[in-house]
Amino acid sequence: METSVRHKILDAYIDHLLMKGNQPTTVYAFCKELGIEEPEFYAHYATFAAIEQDVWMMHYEQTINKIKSLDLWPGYSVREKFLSFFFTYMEELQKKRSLYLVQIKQHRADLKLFTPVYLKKVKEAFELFSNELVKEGISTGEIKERTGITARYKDALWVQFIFLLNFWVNDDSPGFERTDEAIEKGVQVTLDLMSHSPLDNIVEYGKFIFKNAGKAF
Amino acid sequence: MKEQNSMSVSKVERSMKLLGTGFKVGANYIKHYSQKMVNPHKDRTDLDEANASDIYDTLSHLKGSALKVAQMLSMDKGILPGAYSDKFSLSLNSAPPLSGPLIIKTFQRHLGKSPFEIFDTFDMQAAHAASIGQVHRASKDGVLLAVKIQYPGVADSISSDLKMVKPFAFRLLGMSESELAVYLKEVEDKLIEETDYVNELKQGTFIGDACNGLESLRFPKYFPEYSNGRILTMEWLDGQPLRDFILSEPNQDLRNKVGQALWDFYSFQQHELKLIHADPHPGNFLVDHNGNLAIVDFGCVKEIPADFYHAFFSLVYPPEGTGLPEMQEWMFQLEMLNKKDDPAKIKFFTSMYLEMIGLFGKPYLNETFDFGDPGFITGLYSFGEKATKIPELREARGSRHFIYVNRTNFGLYNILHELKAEVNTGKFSFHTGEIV
Repeated sequence: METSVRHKILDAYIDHLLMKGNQPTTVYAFCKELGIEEPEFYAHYATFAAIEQDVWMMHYEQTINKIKSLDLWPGYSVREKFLSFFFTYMEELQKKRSLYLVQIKQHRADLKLFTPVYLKKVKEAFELFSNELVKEGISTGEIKERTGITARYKDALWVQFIFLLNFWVNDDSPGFERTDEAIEKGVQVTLDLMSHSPLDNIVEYGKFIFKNAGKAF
Repeated sequence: MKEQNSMSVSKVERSMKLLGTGFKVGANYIKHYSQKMVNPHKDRTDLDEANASDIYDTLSHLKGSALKVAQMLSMDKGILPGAYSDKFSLSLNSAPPLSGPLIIKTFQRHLGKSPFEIFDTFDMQAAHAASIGQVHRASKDGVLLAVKIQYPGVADSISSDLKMVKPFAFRLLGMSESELAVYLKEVEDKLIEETDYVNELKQGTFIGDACNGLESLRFPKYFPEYSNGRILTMEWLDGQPLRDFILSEPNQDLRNKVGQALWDFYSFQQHELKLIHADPHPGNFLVDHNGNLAIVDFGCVKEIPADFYHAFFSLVYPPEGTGLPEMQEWMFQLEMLNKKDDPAKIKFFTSMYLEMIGLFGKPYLNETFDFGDPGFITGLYSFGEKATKIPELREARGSRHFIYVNRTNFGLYNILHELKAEVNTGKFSFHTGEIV
């Protein structure tokens, strides 16, 4: 019974966004439209933003379930797992493009801040997911452990997430093919940076020169 | 194969790359001319090699249409100095493959299912690269299949890529932009056409069916139900790439057999179909263990308009008793001569063209022709070299249809020369009757 009201609110809210193109003016107006009492609304959601977080979270969970159920998933490298995540995530977003665009456009400036309110829950989940994969990558040698930096990898991946979302919002290519390209190339670069790279040698060399500064000159 | 991880991201970046090469090419020229001041006998080979290598390095970092242009340039050996074309022919197989998830995604987007749901087996590792895509092995109901997947964004970037390659092309060919515009349009249209796999499927099926009666030729069967604009599924044909076949030093009979099949294929298309497979690159042919020739890529097909066909082959096969005025009339029709030309110019171009057609038409005019004869191909090349040095020929002339018709014929001559094949060239010939 409880969940069905929650669902009803969620569905009605999505419907409102899609039809009107903006948030309901007040919770009161929304409840009246839906035919429920205000307290009933607050029993499930404190704000409209909380509903939006659920909308995005549902979509995120669908993506995770979908990719993890792929036969190929266990055999994928960490690089491929991230690629697979982003491709699927964007594909799913696309199916309800107008719904997501309405929400993104309402909080336009948020996307530049890297933590839009509606993505709060997704961010937490994605960071866990990233850490899990980074750990896997370190154990297989695909990702290099760097003291003090390994813990920030998840942040780099989140930046990638926001970048791709932004890219997709502005993509006007047929079938959003440009977004596919952005994912393919962007994720490769991010993973390249996380794997053993010439950068490590440069840093090592820098440290060496620093320690032995007197000897070279 | 190394998975791709450093493809240029944006148009800006790509422009930067090309710009960088422009500078390098400029620098090569400076180097060349400063050396030439010291040593006046220095020839252009070093310069051409240095340029070709820098251009190639740049183009290999690009994909899609830029790669395609590289391929086009590498075809016209007669027009471009040898050093350019040798470097460029490498560009064919240098594109790094797509990641696994992108392959799955492309399938899901375009056919609504993953390749594993569609086929019984599907190899995630690309068997080889095609210029704007990559080919995977698959099977269904016991039939081996070749599945070509196009790189995303290729079709979309052709026009912008071409814009960037343009200044380059002008520099290489030494022509002005306005002169070349109509030709580049032709190339652009064809390149865009090439990104439509539905079109390729139709063309391949049509030409395959039409050429059904020809000996020693094999065409793949296409599967429209597993194909669409970006994915093309066809029967997997076994065989050695033509280049490898040539390198394996086959005996003369085998060379002649393959050469004959190739010649018949092209002359049948020109004279009977008026529609030609316009990409005679060795990468598009396979030779099976029985010496049959398989044609595996129908992305680029050129329709030859009837009036062009008539004027062009009238020049190649002039009927007995044809006088100079008639020859010139055909040249006017083909836009090789222009009404605005003064008499001296007309005289000059007529004699140039007659020499050229005389060279070009040799295989067509004899019943049998030995493409192994080094005199023939070097004659063509040295005429090409000579032509690039004549200032009058710097201006763009000739109907736009020449681009692909020439590309086809010169490509064909090149392959037959490498095959050193002796071919009976008389089976299909110029006629003005009904087409098939």
